[in-house]
Amino acid sequence: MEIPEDIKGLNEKIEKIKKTQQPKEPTDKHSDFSHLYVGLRLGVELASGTIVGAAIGYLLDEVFDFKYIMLLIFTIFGGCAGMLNAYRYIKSINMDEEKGRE
Amino acid sequence: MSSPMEQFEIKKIIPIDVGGYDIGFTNSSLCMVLAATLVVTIFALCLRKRTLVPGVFQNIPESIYEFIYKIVLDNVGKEGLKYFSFIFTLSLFIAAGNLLGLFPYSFTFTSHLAAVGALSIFALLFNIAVGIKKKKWGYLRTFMPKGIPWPLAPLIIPIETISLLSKPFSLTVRLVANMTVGHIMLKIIAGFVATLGIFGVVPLFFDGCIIAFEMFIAVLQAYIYTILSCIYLGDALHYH
Repeated sequence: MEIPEDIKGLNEKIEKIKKTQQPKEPTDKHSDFSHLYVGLRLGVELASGTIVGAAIGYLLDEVFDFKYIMLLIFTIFGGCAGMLNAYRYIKSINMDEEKGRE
Repeated sequence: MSSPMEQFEIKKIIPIDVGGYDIGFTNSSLCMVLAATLVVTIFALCLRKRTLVPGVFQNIPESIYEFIYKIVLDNVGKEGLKYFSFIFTLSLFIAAGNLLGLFPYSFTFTSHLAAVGALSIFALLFNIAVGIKKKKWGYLRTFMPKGIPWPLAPLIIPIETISLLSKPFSLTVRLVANMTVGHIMLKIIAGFVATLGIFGVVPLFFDGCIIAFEMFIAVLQAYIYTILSCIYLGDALHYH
């Protein structure tokens, strides 16, 4: 059976249309403004953990008279907590980005 | 020119003293009452004539409702819809407070650590209560996540506790810093309008632009506060 002329060229036509409808290059969806927000948020997370830790340590020193040992220990714990919060925030951003890609 | 910090001073309107404690009604309290009244009045007026197909005015509260509903649904899930009214009230109160502070002779109560801090601590206690209600003793797992060896408990428990307690602090600092900085900037630039004479038109124009930008920031900060409150509520319900 002979293939009609208009069907013969169908494959070429489809290829042509596919080429014109190529998905655009993915652009960076995060503007400078959102990068700034991420940076600011990370800074706030790091600082707030340390401040809260130091405040708890200071209060414990005041109440139990530990001579600034608790201030020292809890400032370090606070710094770790700040880093933990910052890490969780970055992890959540990465997870959101992966979901977006899928 | 008066100090740019003068706008944040709390002035007593009705002095009330109970057992040596000063619980006077201040300009901050007045603005809080105004913010709450304003939201309720606008909603009541817009929803006066409710129709199946919403009109222009009915669309305003419905859009806000749907917007916050979506935030709760996306960040907390269906389970979080039980607490929607709390999040809705919180975000509208903060948005109204931020926007109200932009009016001349008004007071921005969201620029005060005490006011926003109290709201954040209340939100934290609410989240803890929700977590305990759902997971009972299992909520304590928040402080000692699964898979961590027990010898590490003396290190992990204080770190996780501080991590939980620093959440309302970071929430508060972000909102207060944004509001305070914006208002100080407005006041400083406004100070140049009078001192520069005819050239005062330039800072006046900048002030106009900054006010428009501040309106955007006011709504954006309320949005961020809402999203973060939802994320923290979601953590209390689902984490570990």
